[in-house]
Amino acid sequence: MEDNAAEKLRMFGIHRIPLIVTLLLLFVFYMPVKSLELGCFHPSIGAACVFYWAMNRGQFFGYASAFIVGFIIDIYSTMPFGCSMLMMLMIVVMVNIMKAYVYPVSFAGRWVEFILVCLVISAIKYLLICIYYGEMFSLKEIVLNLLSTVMFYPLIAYINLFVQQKFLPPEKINE
Amino acid sequence: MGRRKFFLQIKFGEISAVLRKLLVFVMFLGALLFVFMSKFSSNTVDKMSATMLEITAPVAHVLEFPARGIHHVYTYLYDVSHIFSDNRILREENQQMQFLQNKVRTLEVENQLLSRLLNYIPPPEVNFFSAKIVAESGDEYTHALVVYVGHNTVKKGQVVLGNESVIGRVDKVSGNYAKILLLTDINSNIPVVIERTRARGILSGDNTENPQIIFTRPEDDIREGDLVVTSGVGGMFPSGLPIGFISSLQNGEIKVETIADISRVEYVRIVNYGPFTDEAELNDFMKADEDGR
Repeated sequence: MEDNAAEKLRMFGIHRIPLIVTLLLLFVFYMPVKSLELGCFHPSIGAACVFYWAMNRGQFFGYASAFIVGFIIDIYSTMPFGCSMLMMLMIVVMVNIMKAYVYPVSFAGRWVEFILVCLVISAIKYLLICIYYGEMFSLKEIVLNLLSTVMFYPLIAYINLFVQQKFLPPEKINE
Repeated sequence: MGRRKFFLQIKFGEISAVLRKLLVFVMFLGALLFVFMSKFSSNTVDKMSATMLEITAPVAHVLEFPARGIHHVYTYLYDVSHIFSDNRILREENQQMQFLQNKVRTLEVENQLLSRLLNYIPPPEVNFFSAKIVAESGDEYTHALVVYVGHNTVKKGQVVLGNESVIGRVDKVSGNYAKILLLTDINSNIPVVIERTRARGILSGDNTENPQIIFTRPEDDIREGDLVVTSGVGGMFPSGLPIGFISSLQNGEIKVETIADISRVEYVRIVNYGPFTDEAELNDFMKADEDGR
């Protein structure tokens, strides 16, 4: 009986690993190290992690995890509260749609999918912010952010892949 | 009777699937509700956000220590590589400073004498304390810092200085931490004055590296290179704190290049000034200024 409870607790912990890793990466990128000449680049680590985990281990990283990640981003952001939560949830929606229709196995395919998701999310976010503040903002910063997010994706994917292979049980084929 | 039979037929798995779908809908609705609430009832959202900042900021604070180590190594190597050119610049600056120091002393004595003659009442004293930066939350729309303020009394709206100039103002305070809104953030609005002509305006962040000055009069004489300082209007900030220089005047947009280099700032100074450290003062001023024009 005790073993069963311990096993359940262990499995509960394992299921939370993707969320914990995402939050940890988020905080790592919040570290004040701008003098490393990354000042103008602000990659959306949250978006990259949510995309990776929802795409690769959807059973461990669903809407609730995406909601929590968005909540944490909103706390540190100065954007309207709830905006990041909405964006993270939309990433999961888009990933689920993509999973139903396309299934590329190569990393390049995944990267292209991520670029598509980023483009759609950035456009929605831009519209939402413009409506909220009632003015149009410069697109330069948004494009720079988009490029940096896309460029950083392989690094984020590599870190997450390492965690996936090291700590998570192998995915069943029929899942 | 038929309805009861229908409910009994639904399996547990189906109920759980329906509940899951309902939960997703609730989450979307909740996120949208938060957006609306931050627009129309920002106090509730602010309080909740501040509480969550207090809970999560220690994590960022702990992670900051190893990051600071890497940062110091990088800064050391950068400084060593620039040591000769920096030394030459500093020598030149030192010579200019010594000349200016003598001039300032003379002007200070003259100022005191004239103030006494005019029975001039000086503005409230400015005091400040230093706070360590523990996190930088930047994305395409956000330009903010999280600082550790400890047990010091910090109020929303207080001005924040970097090494030598204004970098922003306090946005949220929660326990030992405070969120600083940088000048470049879209939510940032600071009353400023052009030092040369005393033309007033509001420095407003517009999501670019160079914030713009709004609410100026068309007849105001503003030129490229003019120094922009805090106006002190509203009683929130002391007047005369340097912010930046006018960088361009195109299509009616007055852009400002800020002096502060955030990448080199490790500690910030939070200025406590006078009896009026309430953001309502600033909002009233902005409203009155807007109506006046």
